[in-house]
Amino acid sequence: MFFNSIDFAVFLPIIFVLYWFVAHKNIKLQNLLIVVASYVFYGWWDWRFLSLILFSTIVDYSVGIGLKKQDEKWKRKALLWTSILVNLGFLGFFKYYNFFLDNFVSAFSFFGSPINSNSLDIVLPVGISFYTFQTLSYTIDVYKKKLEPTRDFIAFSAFVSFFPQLVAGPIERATNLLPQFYKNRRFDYHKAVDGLRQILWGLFKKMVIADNAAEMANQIFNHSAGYSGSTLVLGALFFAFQIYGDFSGYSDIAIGTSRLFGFDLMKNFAFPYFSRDIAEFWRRWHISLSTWFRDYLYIPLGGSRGDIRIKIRNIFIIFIVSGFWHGANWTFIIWGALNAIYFLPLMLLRKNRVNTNVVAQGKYLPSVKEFLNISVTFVFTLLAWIFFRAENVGHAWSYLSTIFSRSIFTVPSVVGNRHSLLIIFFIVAFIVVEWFGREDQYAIARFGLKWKRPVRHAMYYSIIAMIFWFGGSEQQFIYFQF
Amino acid sequence: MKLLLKKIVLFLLVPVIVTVSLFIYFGAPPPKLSTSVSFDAKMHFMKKNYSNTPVDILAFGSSICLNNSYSTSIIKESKNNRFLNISSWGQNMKENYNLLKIFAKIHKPTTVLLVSNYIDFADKNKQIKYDLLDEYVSNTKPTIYYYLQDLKIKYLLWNAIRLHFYKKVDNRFGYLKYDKHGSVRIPLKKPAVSDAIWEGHKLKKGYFSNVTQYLYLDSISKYCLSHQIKLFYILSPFREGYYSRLGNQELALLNNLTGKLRSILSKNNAYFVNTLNIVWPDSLFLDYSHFNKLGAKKFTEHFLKEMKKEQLLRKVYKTEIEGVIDTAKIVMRKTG
Repeated sequence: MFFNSIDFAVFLPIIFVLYWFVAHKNIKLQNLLIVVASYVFYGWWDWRFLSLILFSTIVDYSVGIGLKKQDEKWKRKALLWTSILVNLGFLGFFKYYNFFLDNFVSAFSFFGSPINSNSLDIVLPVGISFYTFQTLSYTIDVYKKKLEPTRDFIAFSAFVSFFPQLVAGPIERATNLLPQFYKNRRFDYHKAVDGLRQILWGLFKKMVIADNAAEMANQIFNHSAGYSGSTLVLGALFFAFQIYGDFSGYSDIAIGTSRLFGFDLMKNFAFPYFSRDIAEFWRRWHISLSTWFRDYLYIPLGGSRGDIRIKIRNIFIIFIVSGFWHGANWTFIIWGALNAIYFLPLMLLRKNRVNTNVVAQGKYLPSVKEFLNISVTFVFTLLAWIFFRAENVGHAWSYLSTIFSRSIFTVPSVVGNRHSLLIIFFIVAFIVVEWFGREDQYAIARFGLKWKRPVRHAMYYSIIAMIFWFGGSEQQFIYFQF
Repeated sequence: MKLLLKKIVLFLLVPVIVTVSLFIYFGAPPPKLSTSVSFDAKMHFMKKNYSNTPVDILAFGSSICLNNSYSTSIIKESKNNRFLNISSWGQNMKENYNLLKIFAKIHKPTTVLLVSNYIDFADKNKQIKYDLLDEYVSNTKPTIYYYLQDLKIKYLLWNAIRLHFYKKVDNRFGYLKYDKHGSVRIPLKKPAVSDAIWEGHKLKKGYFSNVTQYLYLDSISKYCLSHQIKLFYILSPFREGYYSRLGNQELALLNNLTGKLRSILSKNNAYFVNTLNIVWPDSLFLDYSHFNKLGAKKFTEHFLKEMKKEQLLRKVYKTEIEGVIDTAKIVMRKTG
């Protein structure tokens, strides 16, 4: 069920009431309720894939117990690799089987030996890329002895399947989330209210910004051959806000919902479009995934230690794998490689940790230099997003070549359209609100808190009215396809 | 916890009260049976006023049938009150056929009118949920069930507001206040239509070459034949100013259409009434193809006369043919 659906609007209050009224005195009962609710939530899409998540849970729980009992290095490694192979095996099969098969066949055809193959009609289980990484973080941390393995199967199942973040993150670390399932959770009124505000903002980002931007982006990308360069630039801009509004909106709803149940999830987005360089962008965009790759892939490979070739190799591996994680298409790999190219100079010149604070902290406006840096970083990101969104590499190239043609100097064809002007207005207003809220957890975290209650409530009603009236035609959350 | 729940309930009460108040003020909209507000409104009208009522004459079509059929004249001519106009904006032949199957079953008509022109052969799609519609007009479940099937509050509220204005504002082209029989008469001679609507669009080949829609007309006529229903197809005209501007190519397209229609209908014993052969002054029209109230009256009276003529001609023709056959039989018997 989607967060912005009537099903979820009925589901959430029921679970909330049961959690705090019926199960509140017993932590095991609360965890069990979370497991049941999470399995119902996940099964709502397709009950057949419950077996996958259950199997993955059982394997990793058993691996954790086994790692506790084993001292011999090779046995511990074997257990770890069992977990890695099972989880990545499922991921590889469901997500990448057809991609590898098709490319294998193409390669043979290219060399003059065509072979027959049958692509499988594989349905990608929702959220598989997220929960497999989440459980892997558990087994890897237990292996490294950073975390004590749990004997509480219900708590572990709740950690793996926790419904607010199950299908599109944030990808939680066992060290952060699992211990929260052992602690008694007391209802915190202010935390719950803050969670509701974050849910509201997340819904606004998803339904008003992302879904409306998606309509325009889809129209332009799907018919890009018929548009001028300037219109294609607009299309890329719409996509940039579609993916940001969609994904960060989902994260806000996930984090806000978790807070209703007394859980604290990690921040997943920290206003990435205000980044002053690419390194900062990657510290602010999909933080849970980029830190996962940093800790479980980049650092074990050597990180930024070693000679220049190792550093370059590691950067490319990280970004290309990150791109590949998003989907089985060469466009994602190129998107990743592009980001590696952007990042490399900063790393080699040791300028990748220059901008670590919030831009224009304590000020209303950025300096000219900051504004230029933000703009340049955004333009580079935008060019990369074109590969991310394009159907295939050829589409991306033709899209880019039209942008870099004389038609970029024409007036975009969608500009006269009232609907597109309305969306542009919303995006501009959204950027302003995000700018003024950039020092907080989410843009409206402190917005209006000091106002009188009627005025504050009027603001909430305005946001609800905008969601109700201007919410775009329903689009699936983008990251569900990953 | 209880404090939070109490505050949430009170907070949500405001938008709920506002939404309910808006529905009360603007009136309950029809449930979402399709993607067309006009279609849903017509079905709602049918259910409210004509559920399970036998009807002698059913009319199907698009806005052409909706605006151009003058209910009073039809009632007067048929000498009973049993006429129903089941048309809505943009209703094409495919939709007419599917609706005929549903409504003929309920109302058991003896006559079906299709008041139409070329525009009704376009492939527009209202995404009608026919199974749900069948249940809805047959009154098999409570009305609330149909609202819950596709509960989009925003869609329903927007439709409620639109329909409220469509029913009130009678000098606009999109007027939707039905008379007792489901037709719509726009009172003024020339309402506030734009120049583009008054001038009308160019006839293009694409409007006439949609094979599927013609097949549906064939299906309609076959259905009527097999259920002993008299089918009359009335080819609705254009205003004089529009028609006189048509070039040779466009006239050829219209002639082609006329020929095609005549052929499909006569094959299935249906009647074809062509009103394009008469000059219809601009003063009778709202735009290039929709009549105003006076125009609709004159047009309806005209096609009713033509329908009588066609039936008479066919009777005479049938009698003559039967006479010839009888004579031939006698001759054959005598000559052995």
